[in-house]
Amino acid sequence: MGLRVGLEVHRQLDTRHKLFCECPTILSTKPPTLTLERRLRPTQSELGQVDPAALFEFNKGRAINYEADPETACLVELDEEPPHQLDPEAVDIALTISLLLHARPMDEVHVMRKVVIDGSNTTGFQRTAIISLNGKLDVDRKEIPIQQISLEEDAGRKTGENKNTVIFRLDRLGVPLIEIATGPVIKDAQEAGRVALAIGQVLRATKKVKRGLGSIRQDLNVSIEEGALIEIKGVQELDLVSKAVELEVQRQTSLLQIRDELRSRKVKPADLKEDFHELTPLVSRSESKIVQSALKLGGTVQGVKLPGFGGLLKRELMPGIRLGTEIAKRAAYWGRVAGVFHSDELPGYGIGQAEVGAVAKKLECGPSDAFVIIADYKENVLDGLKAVVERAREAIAGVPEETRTANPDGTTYYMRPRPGAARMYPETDVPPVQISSDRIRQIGDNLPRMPEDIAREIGSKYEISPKLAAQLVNSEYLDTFGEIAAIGKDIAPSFVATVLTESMRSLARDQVPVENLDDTHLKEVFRLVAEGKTAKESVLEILKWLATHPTANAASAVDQLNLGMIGRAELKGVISKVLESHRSLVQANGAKALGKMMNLVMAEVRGRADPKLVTELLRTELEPDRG
Amino acid sequence: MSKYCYDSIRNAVKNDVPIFMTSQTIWGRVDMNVYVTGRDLLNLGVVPLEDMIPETALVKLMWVLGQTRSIDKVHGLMLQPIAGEITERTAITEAA
Ligand SMILES: [Zn+2]
Repeated sequence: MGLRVGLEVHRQLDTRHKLFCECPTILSTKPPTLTLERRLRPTQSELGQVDPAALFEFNKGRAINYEADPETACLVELDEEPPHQLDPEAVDIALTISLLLHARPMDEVHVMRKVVIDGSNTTGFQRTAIISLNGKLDVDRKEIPIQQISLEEDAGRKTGENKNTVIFRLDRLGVPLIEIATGPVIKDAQEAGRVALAIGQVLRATKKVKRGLGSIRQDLNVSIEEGALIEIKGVQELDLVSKAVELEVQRQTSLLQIRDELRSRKVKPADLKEDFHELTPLVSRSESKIVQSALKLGGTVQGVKLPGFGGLLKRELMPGIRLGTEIAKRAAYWGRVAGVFHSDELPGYGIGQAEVGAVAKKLECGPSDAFVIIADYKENVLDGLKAVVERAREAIAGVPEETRTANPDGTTYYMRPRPGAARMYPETDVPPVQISSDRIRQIGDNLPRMPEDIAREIGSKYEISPKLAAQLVNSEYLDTFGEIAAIGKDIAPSFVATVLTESMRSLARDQVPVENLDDTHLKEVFRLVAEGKTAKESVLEILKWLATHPTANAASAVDQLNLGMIGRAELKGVISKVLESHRSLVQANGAKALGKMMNLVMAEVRGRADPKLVTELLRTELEPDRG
Repeated sequence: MSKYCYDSIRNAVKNDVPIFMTSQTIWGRVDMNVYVTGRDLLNLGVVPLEDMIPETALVKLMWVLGQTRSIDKVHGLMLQPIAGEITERTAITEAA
């Protein structure tokens, strides 16, 4: 199959300041105090050219709204003040990561501008700087080349969007990101996941990266033999890397099958013509809401025939994504249209059998043909239909090169064409930074330890199994574990480690929002266990409650859930009830029934009693002579 | 600032005369990295005073020179915030 994958891992750095100003690197939870409207306007470059992508965005005519507040943004984010110097703390972290990955740092770091035209940067570009080159990382005894390590500024955070406006919050703009790019040497989906994990471990070893949803973004470059190089942007979770690769392989393989079928049907690119037909009179009385609203706004409905495509538009490429979906997304992008229908999904969406028949007749479609119709303003419809024809022609060639965006389930959709030459030019407002050999030596002498060494050490220090120790190091909770283990001998490290790894994972699987649990929550819960105020058995239930009530504390969770330890008097009551209901067993076995009764009592109180006290009270009951 | 001043500035800096740059604007900050002249002056040893206004800078420098005559300490004190006269972030509320 010839699969080749390259990874680009992006992670936010946990620095005091943003990359080019002194704002903090936190996201605001408060409403914005300032909103500005701006528009993107393409201008000629020094070479007299207008960037076609910028022009295209401009033609969409959308306004960009920026929301800001004084705590998380200053004039630099608004592009009203030039960038300050490159944040030295971020450079140090990037150099640390570079040395851990055996990459060669630059003598001088130059900040560049990369054109970004979606409005997510107030400047119209993203600042980026290469820190080092040519590193390597061993993953399962294979050497993965690290081509480049860079620092970048994160973009504004999209908080809303409609046809005319897109809204970005400026708190995230300028947060430092480290970008690590591997060579395209990864040969299967699972390996892609392992490489992403290994890079994540190196990053975490610095203890200077942010964690949690939104702090990590992985881009994947995926190609298969005879397919095309596809860039997948924004895979947010590590677990999704291998899934996204698998699905992309499936998509490209399916597209190649469709290509073969089109070739065997002898369909030629020239058969696909930009021959658009007015269909408004044929569908003007349909029940389709999209058609009706387009017509009400003075729009039109037009269609195009796709000869030889009969039955192919409903071919599934990935779960829920058909060739028809791909074509519709392409039309939506280039034509700014939403109302795209193809013959394989009709009748449907309020368009009836009779209307479909009339459209097919008008477009002269036979049983082996397909058609696509679009309802919108005429100009948009024409742009959309042109994109449909172009995408259909590409289906005959196989897989078109594209940049795609990842969905949370690992499927992807068309984002934009792959950029041609890199749109990069120097950032002249920020002076280059010299990297002295002294600085590198100092960082090299103080490198953080790698995960496998830490796992070995905590394994022996706390007497936990190597597997559990490795899981802990891979988890987000290594530091938290250390702090909890320091509470003292009343809490078993292996129990803490199990809760922080396996239990947290199973809670997450059950859709419990464990990301709401902070270190304080976790420490409080284990402290209550250590102090005998709640039972080990109650920990999961408490954590589950705290995850959905993150402003509460552990003690109030214990109260709310009634999980406090049972006092002596209440325990005596439970014991006599248990003994009463098993009277014959107790009479027959006497003191030998202790173990069995113990289990029954502990089950009855769900662990909320000190086992020593239970044993003591049971003994008194079962062996009255001893008392 | 014209190039004919450069020699005088170079001379002054060589003789430990402190030279600072401020902005005439009420809101805003000196950034000497954006234009060639600014970078030249930085290289000559002129010290930018961020968002301190010129009047404040003058009075502060009078006070600083009453505390120390060491050029390094003069630079350090001028850049150290004492009464909100110099800040590292230009707040957006002032701009709005
Ligand atoms: Zn700022």
